[in-house]
Amino acid sequence: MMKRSRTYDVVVIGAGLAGLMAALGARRAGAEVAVVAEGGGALELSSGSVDLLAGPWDALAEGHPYRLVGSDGIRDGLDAFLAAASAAGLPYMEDAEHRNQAAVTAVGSLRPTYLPAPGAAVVQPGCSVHVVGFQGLREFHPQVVAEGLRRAMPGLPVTWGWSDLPDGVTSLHPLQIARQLEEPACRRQLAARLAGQGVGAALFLPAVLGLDQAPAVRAELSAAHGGTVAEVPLLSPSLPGLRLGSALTRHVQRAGADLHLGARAVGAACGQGRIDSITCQTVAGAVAYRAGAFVLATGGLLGRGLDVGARVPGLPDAPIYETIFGLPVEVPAGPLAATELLAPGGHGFVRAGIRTDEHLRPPGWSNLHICGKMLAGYDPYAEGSGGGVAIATGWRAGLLAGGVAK
Amino acid sequence: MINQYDACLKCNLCELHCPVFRVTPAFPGPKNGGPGIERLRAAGKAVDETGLDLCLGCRTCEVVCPSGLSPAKLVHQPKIDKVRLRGLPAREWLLAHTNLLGEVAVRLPGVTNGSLGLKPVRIMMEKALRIDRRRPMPRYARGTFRSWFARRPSPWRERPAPNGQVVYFHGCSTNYMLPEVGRQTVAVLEHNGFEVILPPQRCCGLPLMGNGEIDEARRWAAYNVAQLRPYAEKGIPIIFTSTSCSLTVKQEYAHLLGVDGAEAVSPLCYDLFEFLAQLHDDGRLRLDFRPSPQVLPYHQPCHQRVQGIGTPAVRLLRLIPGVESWNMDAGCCGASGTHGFKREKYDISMAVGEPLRAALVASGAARGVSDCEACRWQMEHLTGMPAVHPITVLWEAYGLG
Repeated sequence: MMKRSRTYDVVVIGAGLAGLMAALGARRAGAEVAVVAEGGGALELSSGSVDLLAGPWDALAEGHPYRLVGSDGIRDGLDAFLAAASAAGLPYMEDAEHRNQAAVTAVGSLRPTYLPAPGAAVVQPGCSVHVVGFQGLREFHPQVVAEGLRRAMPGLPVTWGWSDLPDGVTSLHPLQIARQLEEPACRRQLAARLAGQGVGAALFLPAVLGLDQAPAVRAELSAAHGGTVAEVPLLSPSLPGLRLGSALTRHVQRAGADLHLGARAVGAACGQGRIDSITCQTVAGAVAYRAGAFVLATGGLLGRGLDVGARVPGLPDAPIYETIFGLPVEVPAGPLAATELLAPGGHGFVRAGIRTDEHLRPPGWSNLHICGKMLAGYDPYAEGSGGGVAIATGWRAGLLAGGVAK
Repeated sequence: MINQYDACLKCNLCELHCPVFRVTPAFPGPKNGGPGIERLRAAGKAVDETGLDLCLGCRTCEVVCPSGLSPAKLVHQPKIDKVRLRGLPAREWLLAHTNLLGEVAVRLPGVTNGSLGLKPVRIMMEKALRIDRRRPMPRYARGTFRSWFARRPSPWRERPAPNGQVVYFHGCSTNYMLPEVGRQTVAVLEHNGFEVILPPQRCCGLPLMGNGEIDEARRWAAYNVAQLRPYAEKGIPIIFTSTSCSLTVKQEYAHLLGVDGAEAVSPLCYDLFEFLAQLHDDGRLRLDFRPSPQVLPYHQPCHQRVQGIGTPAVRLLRLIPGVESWNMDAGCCGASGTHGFKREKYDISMAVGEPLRAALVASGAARGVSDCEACRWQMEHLTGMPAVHPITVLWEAYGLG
C-alpha cells in the first residue's frame, strides 16, 4: 500500500492568529507552506481588536516573548499584519503616536487596545457620543453603555436612545441581523430610522452592521448620519472577530499557503534534534507531513496544544503536557489557578508554555519554532498582550522556519 | 464516551460558520438543532424539528467544532427516522435514484435533455414534484462513460503498465452526465503509467443518505464494498473524481452505514487529486506540462474539506507553468447535491452561494475550478461562467486532448 505523505518546506500546526501569521512569514521567506489544523482558530470569538500591551513596556519580565523577538520584531510583525489585513479588506489603523486607543465595551468601560477593529467604537478627546440600541437585541443596552462611558470619562457628553431594526430584519441573532443589514433596502431603512438621533455626535451601535460588506454598510450609515458611525463589540458570537478570522484565513490562501483543515496532528517522527515529519489523522487514515521546518501554533491550553494529565498523588496540581511532540512545559511556581476568576494577578496556568531561545526554538531542536499561546512566560489576558504576541512571534517563527527550510 | 450534547460548550463557532444559519432564521442552526435537541431527544421528550431539513450536510460545523463533535449528524437524524417510518416521498425518491434515472435518460439523451429544457415541463415538475423551475437540469450525455471505456482498446495490451493498476470509482454524474471527466481521468492516469480498472459499481448512496433513506443506501454500499474489497486487499488504490462519493466510501460506509468490510476499503481510497499529489510527493508524477497561462480560482467542495486532505488540486494546478490558482475559501456553494433542486430550498441555496458568486466574479477569470460536479453546476448557475474539474486543466496541459 502507498504511504500517505505530503512534503512542504514549512508545515505550520494551528490556524489561529499566530499560525496564520507564521504561514505569511514563511511565504515571505519564499517557502512552500502548509497549515494543518484540527479546526479554525479562536479569532472568531474575539472582539476583532488587536491588543499589544496594556501596561508599561519596561515592566516586561526577562524571557517574555516580546523580549525574545525585540522591538524590531514586534514592529515587523505589526507591519506584516497591517499589510495583510489591509489587503484582505480590513484597514486597521495605529494611533499616530503609537499609543493604545480606548475601545468601548458593551458595558461602556474603556479597554486599551492597540489596533481597534476597523469601525470599532473608540473614544477620542473632545468628541461627543450618542449610543443607540436596537429594540429586541438583548445583548446590548444603550443606557448601560452610556452610564459606563460617563463613569469612565467624566465630562464626556453622552446621550442614548433606541431604534427599531428595519422591517427586513426578521431575526434577533447578531449574525442574522448582520447578514440582513447587507440588503440595500434594509440599510436604507436603518439609516432613515436613525435620522435625527445624536446629531453632531458620534453614533455608537451594536456590532451587527454587516458581514463581508460591513465597510459599505457603515459608510452608508455614516453618510446619512453626517458623522462617525461606529460599532461596540458584543459577546460571542462576535461579528468583528468573524470578519477578521475569515478575511485573514482567505488572505493566507491567496498568498499561496495550503490550508489543511480537519487534519489533526497526533504525533511526530524525530531524528537527531530535528523533526522529520508529523502525523495527521484524516478520514481515510494517517498522513505524514514532511518539512524542512515546523511551526507549533496550537494555542496553549485553550487550543489544546497543551493539555492537563491525570493528577499525581502528592503533587498539588495535575501535570500540564504538550500534546504533539511531548515538549517540556514550563509551569510557573505557585498555584495554577487563583481563587477569583478575574484575579488582578491572573492565573498561573495561562503562563504555562514552552521556553525557547530567541529563535523561538525549544532547547535541543533545530527546526521547530514555537509561537503564540504555546510560549511560556506571559499572561495574554492580564497583560492584554495576546494579539500582539501572536502576531510578533508568529511572523518571526514563520520567517525563521522559512529561512531554515530553504 | 461523553454524550455529544454534554461535550458541546455552546461556543457558537458552528453557528458563526454555518452557511445556512446566516441566511435564514428558519434553520435552528447546528448548535440548537444538533446537541441542543439531542439532549431533549435523549431524555425522551417530543421535540420540534421544524427547519432541521434545511441543513445542507456540508459539515462545516464538524470542521470548526473545538470539541470534535459532528452537529450535522445529529441534525440529520430526524430525517432518517421519518423516512424509516414513512418511506421516501416521490420527489426525494426521484432525486436520490440518480443511477436508475441515468440508465433511462442516457439511452434517449436528446428527448430527455430536450424535454427537461421545456418550460411547460419544468412548470409541471414544479407543480407536481416541487422541483424548482429556475434550477437548470444537468444534461445527460450521449452514451455512458462505461460504454466508452468498454469499447476502447487498452493501451496496456502488449506490456504491463509500468506503475501498476488503479481502480476507478466514477460515480453517477461521470457515467451519465460528464463522461469527459472520466475520459480525461483515464487519459491522465494512463499518461502517468497506470492501468485503469473499472469494476461494476452502483451509486455511492449519498443522495439516498442525504434524503434520509439509510437502509437502501446500505444495500448499495454493501454491493460496492463487495466489488472494491478484492482490489483493496491487493493494495490497489481506489480513485474517485467526485468528492462526495469519496467521502461516503472513505467514511460513511463504516461510520453511518456500518457495512462489513468497509474498513478494509477506506485506507485505499483517494480523491483523484489526493492521489496525483501523492504521486508528486513520491516523485512519480509526470511534469511534462505545456505552459498554459491562465487564472484559475478554485472552489473547495465541503465534502473534500471535511476529509482533512487540504486542497491538493490547487497545489497541482500551480505546477503547470503560467497557472495562477488559489482556494477562494468563499464558503459552501449552496447546491448540496439534490438540495438545490427543491422548490422550497432554491432561494436559500442561492443566498448561500452569494459569497462564492462574488469571489468568482471578482477574480476576473474565464472559468472556475472545483472537484465536485454539483458545486460546478452551481458555480455556472450563479455566474454564467464555465466551471471545470481540475482534471480537465491537467489533461489540457499534458496535451492529451
